[in-house]
Amino acid sequence: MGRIAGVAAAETRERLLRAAADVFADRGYDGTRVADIAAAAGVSNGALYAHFASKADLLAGALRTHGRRLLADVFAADPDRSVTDLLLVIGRWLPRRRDARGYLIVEALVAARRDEDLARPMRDYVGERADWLAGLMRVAQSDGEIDPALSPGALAHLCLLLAMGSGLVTPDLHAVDDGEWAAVLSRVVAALAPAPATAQTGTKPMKVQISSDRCQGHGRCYDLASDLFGDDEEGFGQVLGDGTVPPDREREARLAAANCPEQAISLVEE
Amino acid sequence: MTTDERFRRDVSEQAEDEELLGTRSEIVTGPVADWATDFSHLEPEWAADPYPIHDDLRQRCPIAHTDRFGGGWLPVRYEDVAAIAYDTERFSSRSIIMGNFRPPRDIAPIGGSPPISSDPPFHHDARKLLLPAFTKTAATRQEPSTRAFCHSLIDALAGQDVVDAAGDYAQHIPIRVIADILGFPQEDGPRFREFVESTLEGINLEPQERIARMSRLFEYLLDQIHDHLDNPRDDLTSYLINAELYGHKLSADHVAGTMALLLIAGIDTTWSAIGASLWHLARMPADRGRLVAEPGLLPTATEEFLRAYAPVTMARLVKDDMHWHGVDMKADDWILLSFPAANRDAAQFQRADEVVIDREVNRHAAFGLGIHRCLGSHLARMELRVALDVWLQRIPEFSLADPEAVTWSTGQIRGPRSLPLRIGEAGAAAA
Repeated sequence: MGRIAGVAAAETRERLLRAAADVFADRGYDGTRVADIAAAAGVSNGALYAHFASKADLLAGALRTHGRRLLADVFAADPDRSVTDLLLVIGRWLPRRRDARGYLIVEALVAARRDEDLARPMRDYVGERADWLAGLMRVAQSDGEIDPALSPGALAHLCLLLAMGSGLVTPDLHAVDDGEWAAVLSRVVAALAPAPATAQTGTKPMKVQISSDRCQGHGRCYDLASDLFGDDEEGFGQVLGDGTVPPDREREARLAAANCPEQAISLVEE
Repeated sequence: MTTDERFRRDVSEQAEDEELLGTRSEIVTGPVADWATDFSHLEPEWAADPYPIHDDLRQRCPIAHTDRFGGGWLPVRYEDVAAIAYDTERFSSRSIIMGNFRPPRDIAPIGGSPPISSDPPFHHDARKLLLPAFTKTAATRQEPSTRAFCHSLIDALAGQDVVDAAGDYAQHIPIRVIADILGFPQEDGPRFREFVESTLEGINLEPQERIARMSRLFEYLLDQIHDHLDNPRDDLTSYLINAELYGHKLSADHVAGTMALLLIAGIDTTWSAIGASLWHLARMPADRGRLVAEPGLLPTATEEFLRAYAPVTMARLVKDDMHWHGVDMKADDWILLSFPAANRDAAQFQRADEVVIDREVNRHAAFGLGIHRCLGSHLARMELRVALDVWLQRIPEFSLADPEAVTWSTGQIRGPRSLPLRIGEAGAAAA
């Protein structure tokens, strides 16, 4: 009995959310009455209130289950796809006309401006979407697709703005050429990648070397960069370890090379 | 008692007589007519301020000549100085003090005071014997006692308004350090000063007088060697007595020559660097104030003092007749190898004639270039840095008491020999 009742309750809830998504999308938040949703779902008003406390709860619930979530859907379908590729695919779809449920988010956001009962669940909803997107950005950063110096939260925010803005600026209002839009997106996504080689000299590994033919043991290198150079038992300079210079020791490495009277030190940038 | 045959006094005296071999040239003194054709590093004008002379020659020559000292050359560009320092094939170190005496050619490649007077290949092996004793690590071991000694020197200035920073402070520091390293009695310091002056400044004395003075130095060294033979101890003198090269102990000449080198080269040079730095700071309140406020800048400033007031000029002898960098050099012509001139060459250094105490890129040649890099450079840097650090801590305010009373040494090591500074009683008393 309990099990059947549970199944029945879940089914009722699902029917209500599907009906809510359709009615809200069709009539808007203000134009929808709770009774319309109950009728569309074929349940009584009492049964509806057993599952949802308010119209606002119904909309937030409908968004979570039936709102357009292309990114999550595509990601779920192909989790091995690179994140930047995913962003490009979704981005190219954004300006296109979508089905009615695709505009549910627009109805919700507009209504939330004037209805505090709805604003609270919408903040939660948008927060969830932002967190999910930020998590995706972190994956992309750890995979080396996106520059780790960029804030995952800010990147998520950019995606939210594009996605939600695309619901407001429909193709009827303003159209964009598919190819031109894709080109712009490619450029934007490329700019998020880890800095290209020319701008990256500071983070490329640098190595120091000493020419033992030239070194006369002046000791300027181990005076100025004691983390990178030492001396042998006769005072000649020695490179410590394999000579790799940590990024925060590049200044010392350059000073050592510039101050060696015998010009025995060279910096090799690989 | 002494059983080491190498150091029998009659043998050593016989060896010293060999200095009478070699060639002597006519002693020429007096005002220089033209620095490009008649230079002399022993004239008072050079001692007082050689830099305008270098600058003028750099524009005009840039390798000056003199007939004094039997003939010699003075390059003043960094490029030429470096080229000669690196070229041990054409330029010999068999004498490194330009004067009126050239040691016989067959003294090479060892020379009278190895390894500074040595040429390859002997040079490398003689130098290798000494290097471990003069590393930075070894110099650092001397730092605490040097610092304490500097404080004691300043303590002794208490109650005086005007002090001689050259004679009462700078001079004593390297004397103390080298006496400790060689294991000589500290109270012999005044004698060391006499030896230094005889060797480096007595260039134009009559040969017999010069030989007599040098003999006093070597007699003293022989006394110290005998004392160490009788009472061996853990110092550089005992080390040299026992050191071996090519399977044999060093000759008496080698041991005494190296001891003479360490004694002479370690004292005058560092004394000069400390004195010249204090002379600069006495005249430049902004630099002085900055170093008092920013002691962390001292190592950088020390390098700049070494560049701008490099105390040491070396010498070489041309091996064979040749045309070199535009001039015709003859075998046995001197080269006066002026690291101070190289260090002020505007082609090598920006703002070459200014003292920039926070100069970060400073590839100066104060300690020489190539295989003869100053053996004691780590020791000298430590002494100079500690001497200035302690002085600035204890006496942050000072000025020249009488600019006219400042005197400078003549010859190849240049630094103040009299430097009266007004320190005020408060400065010296504050411990």
